[in-house]
Amino acid sequence: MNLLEKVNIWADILGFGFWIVVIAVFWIGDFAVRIITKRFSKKVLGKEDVKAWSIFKYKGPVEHH
Amino acid sequence: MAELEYAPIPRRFFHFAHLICIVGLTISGLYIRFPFYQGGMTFMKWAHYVLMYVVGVNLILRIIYCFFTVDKSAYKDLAIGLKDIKNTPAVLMYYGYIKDDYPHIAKYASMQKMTYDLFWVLLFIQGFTGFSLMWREQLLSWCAGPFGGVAIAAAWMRVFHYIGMWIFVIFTTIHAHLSIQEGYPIMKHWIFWVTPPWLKGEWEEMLKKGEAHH
Repeated sequence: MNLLEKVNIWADILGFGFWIVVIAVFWIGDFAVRIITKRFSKKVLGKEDVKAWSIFKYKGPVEHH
Repeated sequence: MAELEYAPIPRRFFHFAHLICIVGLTISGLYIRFPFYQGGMTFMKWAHYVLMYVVGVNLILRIIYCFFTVDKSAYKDLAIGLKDIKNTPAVLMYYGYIKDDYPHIAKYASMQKMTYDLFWVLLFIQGFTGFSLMWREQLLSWCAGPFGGVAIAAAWMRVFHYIGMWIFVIFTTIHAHLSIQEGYPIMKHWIFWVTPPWLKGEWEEMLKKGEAHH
């Protein structure tokens, strides 16, 4: 197999590979994370939208005595 | 006075024509590489050629519109400056779920600008590599030596064209996702020409702050 054929095959593998990863990360993963964080921020924090890290840092409701 | 609009009608039209062409070029291009049904090669090659000319004319008209019409300052919205580079970590943290927001210093975020700039640069590269498959002697004679001849240079151009297609497809996939997730009303404005009532006010505010050009 010469260099041209190798590059062609690797373009197939990396092209489809990255595309599938991008679809999985963005169209499926990011979409799911956005739905979860949006619902959490609205229901629990009472905010319009926050990112996952803010939710991760959330320590629970503040107790008032 | 310049047209006071977030995305003037010609810009939306160019974007829509470009969108149709890119979808058609990707499907026909993938078919030429992997014929996924029988008997479609002639049609797909013709479709690829026709759409190639349409996307090329669209690009030329878009450039003319960008520099010589009422919209001639809008190209500045795509210019990447030091403040954009400095803002990039904040944008990355926002998309990495770490920060709840990032400083909005321009009409487009820094990575958005980089992607849009990549698109038009890539279009020229795709144009050259694509046309060089048709007019090998005329376009490749000057650089054929290191490749080992015009025929081999053309074979490499085909591979470069294919790699360029994947870069286009991958970035367009991200662009489509973020346009729906991050700016659904703006996406509707661009694709379906539905203008949200608040857009004019927001656009005027952006212009006032110097975050955008028209």
